Amino acid sequence: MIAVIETGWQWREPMWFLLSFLVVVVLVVRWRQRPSVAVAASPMWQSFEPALPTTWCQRLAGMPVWLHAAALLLMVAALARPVFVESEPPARLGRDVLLCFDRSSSMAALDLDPAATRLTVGKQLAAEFLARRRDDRLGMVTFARYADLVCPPTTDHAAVRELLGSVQLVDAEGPEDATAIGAAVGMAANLLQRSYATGKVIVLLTDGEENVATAGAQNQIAPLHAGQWCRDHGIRVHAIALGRGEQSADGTWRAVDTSAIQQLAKISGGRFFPAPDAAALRSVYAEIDRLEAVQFAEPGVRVIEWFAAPTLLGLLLFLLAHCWRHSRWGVMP
Amino acid sequence: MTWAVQPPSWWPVVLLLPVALGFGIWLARRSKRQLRQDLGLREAILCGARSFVRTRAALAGLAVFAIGFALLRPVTPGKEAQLAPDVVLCVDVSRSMAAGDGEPTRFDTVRRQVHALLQEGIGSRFALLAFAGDVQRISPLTADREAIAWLLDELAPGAIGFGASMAGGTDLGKAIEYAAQSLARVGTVGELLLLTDGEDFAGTAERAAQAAIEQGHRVHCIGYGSVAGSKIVIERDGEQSYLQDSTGADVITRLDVDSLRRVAVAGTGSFVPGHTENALVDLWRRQLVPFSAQRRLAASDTDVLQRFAWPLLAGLLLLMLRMCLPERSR
Repeated sequence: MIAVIETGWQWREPMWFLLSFLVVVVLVVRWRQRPSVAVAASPMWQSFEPALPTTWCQRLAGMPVWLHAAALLLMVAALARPVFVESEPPARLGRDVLLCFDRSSSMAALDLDPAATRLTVGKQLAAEFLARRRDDRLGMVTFARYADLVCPPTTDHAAVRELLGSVQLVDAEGPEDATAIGAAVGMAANLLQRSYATGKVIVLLTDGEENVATAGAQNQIAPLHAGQWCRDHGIRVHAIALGRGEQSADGTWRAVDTSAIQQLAKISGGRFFPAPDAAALRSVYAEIDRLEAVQFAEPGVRVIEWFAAPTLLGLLLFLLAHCWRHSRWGVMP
Repeated sequence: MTWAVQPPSWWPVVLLLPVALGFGIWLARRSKRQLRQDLGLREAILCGARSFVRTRAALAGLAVFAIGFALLRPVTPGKEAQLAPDVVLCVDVSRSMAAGDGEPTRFDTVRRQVHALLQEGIGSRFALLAFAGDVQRISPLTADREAIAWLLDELAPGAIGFGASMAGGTDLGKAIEYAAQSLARVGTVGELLLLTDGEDFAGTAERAAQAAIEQGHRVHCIGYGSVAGSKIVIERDGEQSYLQDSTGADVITRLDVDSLRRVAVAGTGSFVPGHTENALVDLWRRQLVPFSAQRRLAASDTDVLQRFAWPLLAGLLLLMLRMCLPERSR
């Protein structure tokens, strides 16, 4: 439901107008205390000189009281808080987006672009994707055998891009060379579940299949379990399967089993995207960008306070009344 | 209660109020003098004796003060106010931080105190930098304090985690510059905390601190270690020994209090010795949070409640009271 916002001039706290009654009381007290009119206009004097005309000075003798009345009422009006309310365009609601980036040695394959590895192409297109997510908080987790927190969600997008640029492959056949998708998504979900953002999204980029949380392995997070955890915490996972698969010794490509990450994406409410080449990967990022389009808050308002104007005018009238009293037109105090 | 004023762009007009008050008093005195000159001793007989002269003047003065204060727009935090500061933690990871005059080392003391600060720092955003002879961003500004704690645990003297190492020495100036940049990049101002033993080999820290305050940041120094000094513990092949210089003598590292104090003064912040258990948390509670709350409220970049009504009401009531006081007793 869209809230109806009233714009224009408003009194924010009109209850203060009740003080006007007190102002009337003060004016009555003041009026009763007023000095007798100038000697020339007093009844005693007039009994001697009844024909003497009334001057402007005598007619305006009560002016300071009226000026005081106006000044007090202006200040009461200031207390009632006059404001001008303007509508403002709705604020853009950012999401928390976490990149889960595979850096296992298989990301060195040159099937996306003959001149660049999967990692390089992935980083380049991910940087373009991140540059379009201006309203989001961005973060990054990289993984091979272990998941590493590279950057918690932040609005410092330049820092994220720098950190993305510094992601490097693990050594081929080294102790870290494996693919722990479940652990990485689990770590990303752990980061996002603490966030209060309106939308939480993980973009998983991998070229392989889970080979750490296998059937016999203990204390490892399987992709399916990570997906369930994401679903429970309102986190969508969009999974991208990068490349044409694994290259065998004879140079042919063997498709990898992506069923686990497909399930992971589906169970969390996200989508699975195969990206066999760079163009496909670019269109995948564009599609994710569309799916996670920016949301808008309800239209906002800008409140401009105007209490100062009646306050200053009231003070000016007070000063004017004072000057009047002590000028040649004033009544002898 | 936290409050601040949000002076409007025309705030110099408020300075005219005492001038107007003075003019009013002068006018009244001149008029009184004139009347005495004209009527002499007959004044009291004709008009009655003057009464409440000083009280009326005092009430007018107080009213003008209260209304002037109202015009400066006092505010207090609203329900959704974000008052906590943005903080960059610059952690010294030079080898001297491994000296054994901490609990057990200087770096362990830093780690423990930062963990306590992260527990306390609800609502704040933190960034984490590691520095020695060079600076390395460990985390950009984030509200995820647990992630910062986790990343901090990856650091150690002489290393920044995952086996990566840093250039030797300690360049406080470079750390301050980098920290100020990381805040400026996200368009905020904040507090830079240098957690170090203060051996500033580059000698550029004071200049960098002055540059940081020009950008709106403050620089605080928290010094770890002792002035007497300590040897640097290193671990080689599972055995602990002391770091030695080229002549084979054990290196002694000392806390450079004077240098850190100068940097803190240049950065309009505080120098705090890190040997007390709650050094960081105390700094947080006593200085960072109150200052940040004032700054955010005054800058109106958070949810605020307008509080001008109370001083304005006070001024109005004082003026009414003044009007009710008789000027002459007849």
